[in-house]
Amino acid sequence: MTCVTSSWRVETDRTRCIGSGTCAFAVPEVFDVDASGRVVVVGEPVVGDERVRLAVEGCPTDALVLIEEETA
Amino acid sequence: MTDVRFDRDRLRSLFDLRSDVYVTRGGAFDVDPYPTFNRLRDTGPVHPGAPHEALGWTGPVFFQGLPYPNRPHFTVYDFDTCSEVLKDDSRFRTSVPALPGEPDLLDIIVLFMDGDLHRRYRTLVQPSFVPAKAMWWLENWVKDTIRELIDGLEGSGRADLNFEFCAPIPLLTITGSFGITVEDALAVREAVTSDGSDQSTLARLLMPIIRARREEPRDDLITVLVQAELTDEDGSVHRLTDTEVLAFGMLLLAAGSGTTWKQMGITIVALLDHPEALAAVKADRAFLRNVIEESIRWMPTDPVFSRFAIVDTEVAGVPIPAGSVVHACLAAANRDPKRWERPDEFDPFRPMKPHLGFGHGPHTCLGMHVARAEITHGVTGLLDRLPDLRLDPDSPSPAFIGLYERGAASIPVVFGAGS
Repeated sequence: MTCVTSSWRVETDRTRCIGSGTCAFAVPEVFDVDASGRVVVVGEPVVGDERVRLAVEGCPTDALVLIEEETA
Repeated sequence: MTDVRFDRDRLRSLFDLRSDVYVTRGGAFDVDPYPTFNRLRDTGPVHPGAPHEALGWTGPVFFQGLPYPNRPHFTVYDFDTCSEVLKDDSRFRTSVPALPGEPDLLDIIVLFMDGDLHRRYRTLVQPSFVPAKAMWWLENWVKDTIRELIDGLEGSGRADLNFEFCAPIPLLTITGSFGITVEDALAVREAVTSDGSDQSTLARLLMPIIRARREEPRDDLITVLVQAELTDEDGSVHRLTDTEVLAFGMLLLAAGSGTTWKQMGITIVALLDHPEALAAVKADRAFLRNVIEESIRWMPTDPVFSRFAIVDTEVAGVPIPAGSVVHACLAAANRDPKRWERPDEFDPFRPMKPHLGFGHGPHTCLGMHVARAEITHGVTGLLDRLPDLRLDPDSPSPAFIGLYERGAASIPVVFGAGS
């Protein structure tokens, strides 16, 4: 029997980010905006959390990428 | 603290949406635009012409991207294409070189900057507007205003929340963050004319404050601006000039006072009009978050943002010549049935999804977290302190009016024993 583990992580592009905080508002336990006005990932996204997917898609400047990984 | 803010007649004259100030924004427009928006999205999503033309409005209009009579105009009505236009600043910009006869947009205003220049200027103020800073705004400039406004209302049993509550809060928040007194804030408001704000009144009040903060910093927004360090393209660092700080101030006042006012009003009307939502908020104040987001999706106060195409391009298969004005009708996009079920219904119980009510792309609303905090705290204060708050049953239902800036014309309410 193979055991497959899924994990989600979010990659950020701080050069694209304008710090609008759209993601931090949507999922505050995963995203925040630091004192310089750029996104930081502050928590691990829960696999399958639709809010995280929507926040990544909804980034106004395409500064977020959701990486979905499965390891056997 | 003077009590000028409780002079109801003065507040009414300052904030009447039907007054001359709002005529050029289509202030008197009182038709429901959404059936037309829905039809245009279904048959488009891109159509030639500006939104007010599609709605049959023939009055004067002056707004971002309007009137520009010598350029082709297009309007986009669906979610995906509006997102594309607002996001892609390699094709769609907030300003273009003026054609003969067109006004030059002030290039010191961040709203009209694009690309890297916009990013560098926006970065100066962004840290003061991030979610974590909402409490700084609340404690310094919002909470006292809300408390004092409710102090003035609570004994009377009835009020028009549009003039007497929603309108003054964001104005006094922003002018407070500039260090302008309440009486002077109302003078700034009075100086606003149909052509845009009377810049001399704000300049007269703000310039001495700007100079004073350079000498003696305080914990306020003007201090943030005078201390901000701007890194130029060549890497050199300098501070903003007095004129640049003033330009920022004018933009923040123009962008932040009318919008939050009207969106707070829309939220209150929608909430009082939906008993299940009101009961849910009374049971759990945290649900207000859903109510506010749904109100911004359902009826954004700014229904349209515009861009200029800088190259020959196409959107949704429609060719757009360089120089065209492309209007993103985000009010229509926010009711796109491909993204939301029953999109015309105000339903705060639906799952929250990102909407375009604060715009999209690099110019996404700078003040959205402050606006949310003001609305949250304002509605919470009303519900906490005005028992049995409800729309006045003896007045007509509040009407939403306005074309390029929408809001409730009035919000008559009754509460407590006085009703």
